Amino acid sequence: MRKVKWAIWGVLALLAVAFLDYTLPQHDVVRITGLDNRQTTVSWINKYFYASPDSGTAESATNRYVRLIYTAKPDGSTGTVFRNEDTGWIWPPYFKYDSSNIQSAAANYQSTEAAPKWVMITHYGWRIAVLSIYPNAVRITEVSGPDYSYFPWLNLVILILLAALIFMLRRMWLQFWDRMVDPAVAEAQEAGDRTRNWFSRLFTRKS
Amino acid sequence: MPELIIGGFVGLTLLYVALTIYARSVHRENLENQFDAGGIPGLREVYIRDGLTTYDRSLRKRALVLVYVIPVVLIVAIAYVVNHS
Repeated sequence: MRKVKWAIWGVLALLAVAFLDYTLPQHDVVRITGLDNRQTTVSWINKYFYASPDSGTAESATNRYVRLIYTAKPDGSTGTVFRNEDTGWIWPPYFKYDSSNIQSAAANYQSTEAAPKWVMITHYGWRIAVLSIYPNAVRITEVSGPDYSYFPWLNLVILILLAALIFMLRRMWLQFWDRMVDPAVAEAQEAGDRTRNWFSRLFTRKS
Repeated sequence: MPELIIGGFVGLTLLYVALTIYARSVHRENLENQFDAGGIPGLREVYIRDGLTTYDRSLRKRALVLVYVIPVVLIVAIAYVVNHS
């Protein structure tokens, strides 16, 4: 039983980590090699990894044009392919509605291997080829060179705030349990005891 | 956008109510502990009732409205940073 409990907690923890890894912003230093606007079929398998149909750039639930940004890594190998879609207003909470501007910035930074322009693409999401899903580019900024590195301060702050929120919810729950549920249970038990005593007095003969 | 406004309002209201109950409960517990530590004249009930009345009018209690304000400010800030900078 204890093993089952730990297994369930383990799976939940893994899911939480994967969820955060997908949602929190990440930064890649890349060179933009090309752009595309590709007719894409979004199926039931990967629809949760694309923008919801009512957000700005996606017009239909199944068929849509998705803007793609092709990149190369500083070591010369092919980098990730990013998509560039509005996020809409619910999830993930980036509230991005400037895809066209991002695409125009990406076009501006497009460069060749001979005369590279290095950019940092802030993005969330994963590239999984078998599911045809791409990380979504949120911001593109020019950086000094391919060795540029960036400490994810924002992620640190978000994780601390999340931990504080969980701690707060736990305290609220414990307070609720201490002050409302336990006294109510105790009172109900007392009332039950009183009733039982009354009944037993009723049925036992006084000597 | 309508989903965000309606859903956000419902969610934040739930949080606001829960936080209100929690904060009042903590305050009441503190008052009880203060009285039980001794040295306070009068009745326990009166002390706690007066303390809670003062709390209900306090700035601390009113600061709970920040539950609605902070997320709105955050959303506007995120949207600004993501789209306009």
